[in-house]
Amino acid sequence: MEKGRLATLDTDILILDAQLEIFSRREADIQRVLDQMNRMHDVVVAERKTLEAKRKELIGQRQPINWLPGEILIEIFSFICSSPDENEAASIVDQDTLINVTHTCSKWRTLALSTSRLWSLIHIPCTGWNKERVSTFIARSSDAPLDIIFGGLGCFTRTEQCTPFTRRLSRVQDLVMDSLSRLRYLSIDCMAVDTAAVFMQMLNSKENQYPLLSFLSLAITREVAHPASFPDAQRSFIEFFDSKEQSGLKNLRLQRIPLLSLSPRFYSSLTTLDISLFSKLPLPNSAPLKDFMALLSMSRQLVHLSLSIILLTTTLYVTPLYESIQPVVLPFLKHIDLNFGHPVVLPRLFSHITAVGLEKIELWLTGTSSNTSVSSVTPSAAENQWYSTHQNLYLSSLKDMSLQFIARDQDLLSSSLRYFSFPVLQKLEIVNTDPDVRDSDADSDADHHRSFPPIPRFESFFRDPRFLVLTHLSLSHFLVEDSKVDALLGYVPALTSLSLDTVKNCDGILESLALRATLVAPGQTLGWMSELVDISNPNRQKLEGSQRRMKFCSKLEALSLWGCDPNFATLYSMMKARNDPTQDDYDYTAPYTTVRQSLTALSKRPATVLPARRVIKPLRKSKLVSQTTNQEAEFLEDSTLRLGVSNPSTATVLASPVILQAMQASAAQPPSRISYLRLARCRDINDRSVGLLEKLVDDVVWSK
Amino acid sequence: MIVLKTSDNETFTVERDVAERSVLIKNMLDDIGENSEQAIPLPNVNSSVLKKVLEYCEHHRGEPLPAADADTSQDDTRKRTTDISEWDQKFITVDQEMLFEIILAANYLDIKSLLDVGCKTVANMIKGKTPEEIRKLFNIVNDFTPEEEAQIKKENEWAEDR
Repeated sequence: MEKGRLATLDTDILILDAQLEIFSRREADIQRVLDQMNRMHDVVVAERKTLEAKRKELIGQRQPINWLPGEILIEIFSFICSSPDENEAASIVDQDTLINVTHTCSKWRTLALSTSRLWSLIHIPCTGWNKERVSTFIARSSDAPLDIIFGGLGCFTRTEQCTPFTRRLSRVQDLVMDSLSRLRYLSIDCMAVDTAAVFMQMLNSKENQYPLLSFLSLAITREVAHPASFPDAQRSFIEFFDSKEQSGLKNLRLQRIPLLSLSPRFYSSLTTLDISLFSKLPLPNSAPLKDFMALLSMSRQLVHLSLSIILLTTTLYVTPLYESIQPVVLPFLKHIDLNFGHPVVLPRLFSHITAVGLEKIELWLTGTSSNTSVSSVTPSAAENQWYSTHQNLYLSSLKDMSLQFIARDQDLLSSSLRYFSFPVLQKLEIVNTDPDVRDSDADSDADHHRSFPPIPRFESFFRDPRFLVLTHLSLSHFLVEDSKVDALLGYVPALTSLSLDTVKNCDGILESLALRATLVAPGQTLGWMSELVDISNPNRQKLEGSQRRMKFCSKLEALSLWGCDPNFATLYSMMKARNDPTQDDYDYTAPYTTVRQSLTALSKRPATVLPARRVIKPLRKSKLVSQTTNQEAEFLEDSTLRLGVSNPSTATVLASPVILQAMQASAAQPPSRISYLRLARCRDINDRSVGLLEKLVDDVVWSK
Repeated sequence: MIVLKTSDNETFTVERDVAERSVLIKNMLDDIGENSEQAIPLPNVNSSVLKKVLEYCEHHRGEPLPAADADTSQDDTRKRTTDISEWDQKFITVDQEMLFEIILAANYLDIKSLLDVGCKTVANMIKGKTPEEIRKLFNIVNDFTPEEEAQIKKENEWAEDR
């Protein structure tokens, strides 16, 4: 190529390079501008989004739900989950609602997922449980204490077909194994025995610790458990007496689980123990007494004991051996619920425990099992003798007792009750549970009245029929016999509340309650209660004023009639007699005395008691041996004879200064007005009659 | 008697034991002393809401207050029953706006029992409803991200398994 041509090319290239340089610079400038524009765009977009979010928030603020701060929303969500001991069927629905909460909006989801305690109740039903769901709940619950319900009412059908499903539940065990240390509440409700056995094995394994577990419930609802299904059930009861293991479990419920199958460690801190061996199946409905005592020996902290059982069996009828058993001391026990099939359970249980603080017992005799003949479990002479002399049958602190039984079984119940004394009983409820009576139509005719059993006669029903400090009496589904009313009311002089539920012929009671103080000859007293007024009491003068005295229950303040059909005229007359101040105009010149005069007479001469009502034939008599002061000794001597107190400990309780003081104080008070009247389903009562009663009674509650 | 002044400058004269259902007011009274006649300002509560709150306090006067150290932490035994007494139910039957105002006022005034009644009422409104029904009830906007939507779809399959 020519030299000139080459030089031209170089020049062109140089020119192009210069032009390219210029374009590069321009391109860079443009890019710089574009970047700047983009940045400006981003800023504008971001600002727009911020404003949009703010607008959205402001629009949201127009909805009241968004006024609530996060912590209140969490509080609301926590109320959505039922407590585990509430209705179990509801809890699984509540769990679905909780999931729905997380599907409502972003804010609610974030709040709910970040609150571990919302996820700590896990209900795993027999059918349709999802492994991923359970795992997610466990993960979301983080480190919160876990409440787990297996099976139970979440099974919607609970038929025989469900049994295989409950069997599969044991597979859930793997999911919770890593969280056992967080378990706080565990309820296992199985139809199948082997599922229960799998969980029992998990609980008993010494490798597993349950530091937070405070509630445990194990139940088999369909199949029959044999001890062979629970290898641990065959342990010796001696293990319970010797065990030193501890746990923090407070509440234990066992239903149809062999008694000794759960490790002794779970009993050490129990405050509530509920054992039920009742079932519709023939066996097992009973348990050896020694096994039950072994459980109790580990449960020294027990406050509430609930036992449902047909029979506590024992072979210890030989006198020396029977006497050698030391009662289990339960110093904190306050309440016993006993649902039993045979009355012999009563003395057998109570003669083997010492519960000095026992305040309340609820007894429900459900009828003897058809498989157990009465004679086969009737106490032998040796056992009988042992009960009669055993201190523990004097329930010296019992204040509240409920008796439920089918009226035709009252002799059976009485045969056991008569081993007991209840010297300081304050509340007594007697309920006839006979379904024939309870299910019958309350509006039927007089034949229906005759089908009601009479109220048990206290003198034959109890060892000591007089309840000196009883303030509350409730009777349900009985018939009042006119001839027995005075005796009944006479046994409960301190009564303040009387409740009658479907008690037929209650007019007899109302008529007796309207009676004035018993007429007695001058110089004589009204009976043993009038002696209780301390004649040296300076308040005595107050009593000597003109006061109305009622023959029965002068402290009565509350009366409840439920489905009783009282005659209105009788009810009104009784209220007028007790509450109307114009009725106080006593004619003290009449040839009879009142308590006032009796007291005066008492101060002048040794007490001569004329029984104002039927003479009670004492069950047993024995001479009081304890040493007392003169006045107390006089009372005790008389009361021992009159009350038929056979045991020194009972007499001592009755005559304790505290009780005497309380009774004296009570007797020194003026009679009470009935200030509360409740009437429900009473046929003869209407608006007008309630209006009339309201003029006499402060508080009348009436429902049709 | 105690004088309370609301955000809209209305004053309410109430008996001390009624006002002291509120822990906030009780603490303020303890601080300012017995004899102060000064009105207690309540800048976060308007008069219509305070009137309702005082109606509640009046009805429940004399009832024991929850222990000051009552711990609601997760270690406590859970008490989640949503039962509400008949009177409280009738009292809290108000429109949503007033319901949430009462909850906020109870929270501010520290009246635990009233806060519980309000929260239980809202919980009962939510119970048994689908997400869509809940959104409709409270006018809530569905604002889930696509990722959250995917996770929710997966969680819905749990229920379909049943």
